[in-house]
Amino acid sequence: MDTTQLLKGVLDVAVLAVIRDEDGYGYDIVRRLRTAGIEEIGDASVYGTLRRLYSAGMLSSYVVPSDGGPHRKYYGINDQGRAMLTDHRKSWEQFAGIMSGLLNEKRTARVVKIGEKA
Amino acid sequence: MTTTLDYEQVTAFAKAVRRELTDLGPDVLDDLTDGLEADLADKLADGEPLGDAAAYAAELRAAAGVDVSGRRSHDLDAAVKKAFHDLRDEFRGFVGRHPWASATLSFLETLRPVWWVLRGWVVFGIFNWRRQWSGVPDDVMQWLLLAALVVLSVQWGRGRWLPWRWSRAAVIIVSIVAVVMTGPVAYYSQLQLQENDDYYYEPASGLVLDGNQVTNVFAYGADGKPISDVQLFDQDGNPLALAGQDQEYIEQYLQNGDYSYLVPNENVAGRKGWNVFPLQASPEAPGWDAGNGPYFDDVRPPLASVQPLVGYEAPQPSPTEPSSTENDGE
Repeated sequence: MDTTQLLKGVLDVAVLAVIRDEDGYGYDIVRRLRTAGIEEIGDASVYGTLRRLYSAGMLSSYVVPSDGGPHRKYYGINDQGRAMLTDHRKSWEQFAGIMSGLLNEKRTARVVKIGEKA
Repeated sequence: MTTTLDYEQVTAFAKAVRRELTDLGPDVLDDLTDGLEADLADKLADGEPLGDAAAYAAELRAAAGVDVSGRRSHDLDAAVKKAFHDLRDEFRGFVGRHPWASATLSFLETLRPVWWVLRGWVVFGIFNWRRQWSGVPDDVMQWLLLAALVVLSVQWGRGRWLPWRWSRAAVIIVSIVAVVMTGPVAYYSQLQLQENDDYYYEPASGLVLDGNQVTNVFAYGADGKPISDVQLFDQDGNPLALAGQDQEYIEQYLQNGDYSYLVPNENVAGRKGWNVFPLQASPEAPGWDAGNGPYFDDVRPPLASVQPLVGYEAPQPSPTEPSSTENDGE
């Protein structure tokens, strides 16, 4: 299955997650995502996402000059971004649990509604 | 390590991407593509092709949520910018269609430096709020401040001295404030200039002869002798008053450096006798503390007598009135 559609909904969280521990610049963040296994992602999508998260106040940003080349724009997560990441992680775990239950062939009869504690 | 060839390819690609996104306005464009060259260079170095700039720009736009088609642009900021750009495009279209509009615009553009100077001056007036927004500097520091603000405003107008990304926004805000405040600053400046004039020049009231205030009038009869209690009126029958009805006295400076206060004649019914001459002096200004009253002097005619009129004949002394001169010798 093409995971591109799936990815659209969670790219924000994925981007926040890869810079949770260390600031990064655009292509560096693309590399981290790919290393983590998200290989289909286009770099422009990542840069656009970074800009949107920045506008929403989740990230801080600064420019670092580079020797003999163009400057790099670094992004770092801030408190608001961390809070959002924590929120998303919780709802993701819940949602993933539900989806796993649904998709598992040996699924139990009990269907857990979204938002309900398992 | 990027080669020169890579770098040229990268800059050309980044330029093409930016061109695709110019409709977003300079701020969003900067946000979205700042550092793009470095990222593209890394991408090339990783052996990935750059691909199609238009598709790349579309992906960037969609992911950033700044799609001008409005599908994802929920934020107010983008909406306001879009409205502004629409308005600007409409205005440009209008100017393009009407030659007189473009002629007017080009005339006004010539006057832009005047606006830059005016803007600096108005901002000075705003800083001068202690003096009620007056744009009239009155000491060296204020002149220096005015000069600095005018230079700053002109430099802004020339696109210089705008170090930060938000500098242009600041210039726009300052300009709007300056437009609004031009009226008040001009008004209060004019008011202050008027006050300065009032300070230097006594207002002319009463009677003025060759620019000097007339403080008293002395009448002489045909015989050349001073006469008192003369009531004078003008051609319309108005009292030839030296001061207004609300005025209590006229301050008169004497040649010896002292001064006295001239008061109206009290024997005129219903009004102050400012037209009965010569006016008499009061020992002190009415209403003032008499403790250390000012100098008092009798009002003496400037000339004891003047030439009798030509052809004047002194009346014959009446035989019933003995001549006073006869007794002088006693």
